[in-house]
Amino acid sequence: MTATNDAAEVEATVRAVLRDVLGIDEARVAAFDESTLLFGSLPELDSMAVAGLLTEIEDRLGIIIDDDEVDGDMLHSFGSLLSFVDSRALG
Amino acid sequence: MSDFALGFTHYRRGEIEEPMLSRARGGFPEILILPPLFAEMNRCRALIADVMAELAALGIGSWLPDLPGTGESDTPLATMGWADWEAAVRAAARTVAYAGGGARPVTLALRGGALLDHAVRADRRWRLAPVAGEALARDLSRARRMARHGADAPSAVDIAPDDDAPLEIAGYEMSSRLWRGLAGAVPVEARATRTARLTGDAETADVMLEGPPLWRRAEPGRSRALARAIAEDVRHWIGRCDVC
Repeated sequence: MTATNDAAEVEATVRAVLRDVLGIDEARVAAFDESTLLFGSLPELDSMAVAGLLTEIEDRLGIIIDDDEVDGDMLHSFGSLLSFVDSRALG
Repeated sequence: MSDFALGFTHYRRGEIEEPMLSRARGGFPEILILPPLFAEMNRCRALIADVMAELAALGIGSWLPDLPGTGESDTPLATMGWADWEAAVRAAARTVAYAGGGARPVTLALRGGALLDHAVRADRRWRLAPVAGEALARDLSRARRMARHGADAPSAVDIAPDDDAPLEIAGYEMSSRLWRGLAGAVPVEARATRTARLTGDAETADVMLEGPPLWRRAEPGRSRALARAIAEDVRHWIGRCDVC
């Protein structure tokens, strides 16, 4: 497993994971921007789905997300999720 | 197709009968499906049913045991240890071999099922997205925390005490023997093993298949296309019979 990611690749991966794990269709995920609200606003993303979402992001990007870092802020919007994942995958 | 009618049968674990689903007619090779573990099994139930139907359409029989303490099994999960699950899949394989005239089955293991296929006397092994037990254990404890506390979960707690009191993890009451066995299990390297993964997976594999990781879905989903791709890859692989 390698963690050679660039920002565009990370973003594409996060979108693909939202599509695959939450079962959201491609066009809807493609329309997500930084301000799109996720946890608490996206009905597909409940607390059980969060675990699967994070684990799948870890697997696809070859990173580890510490559960202590997972909170409502990180999952607040597509932008906040992406910047968190960027910080782990590109750091 | 009527040859491959769905059958509700069982395998024997000592005196105890455990449920097993079959879609077989006693040919060769027969496929023994080793399902994913815990919540991943529920999410993949439709996928497995579709895989069994696709295999039948290709003329290949398949069998799906419920692990003791899961699915339709009457055994309390909390009484099971990891070694009991290993013995259970071995027993299920014997039943399938008997039905197949003594021929060893081919295992088709999904995700955590691949942690158990080493226990089976198999002709060969096919795996979809095999995963280390440690990752499944981490996933379960993460789901447990999320379910209890939402996204604002507190720090992780130790859920692997050394005593034998049952643990309640993500809705499953399990023994600490089972939990420790799971957490320490890895897919065992064996000859005649083919590994498939989904496109996008960072790990290497013998073949990459297109499809969604249904085992992650909070709401169970279906993919006939993935089921067909699995069945066709299995057929292609067992058709190259350089071992049997």
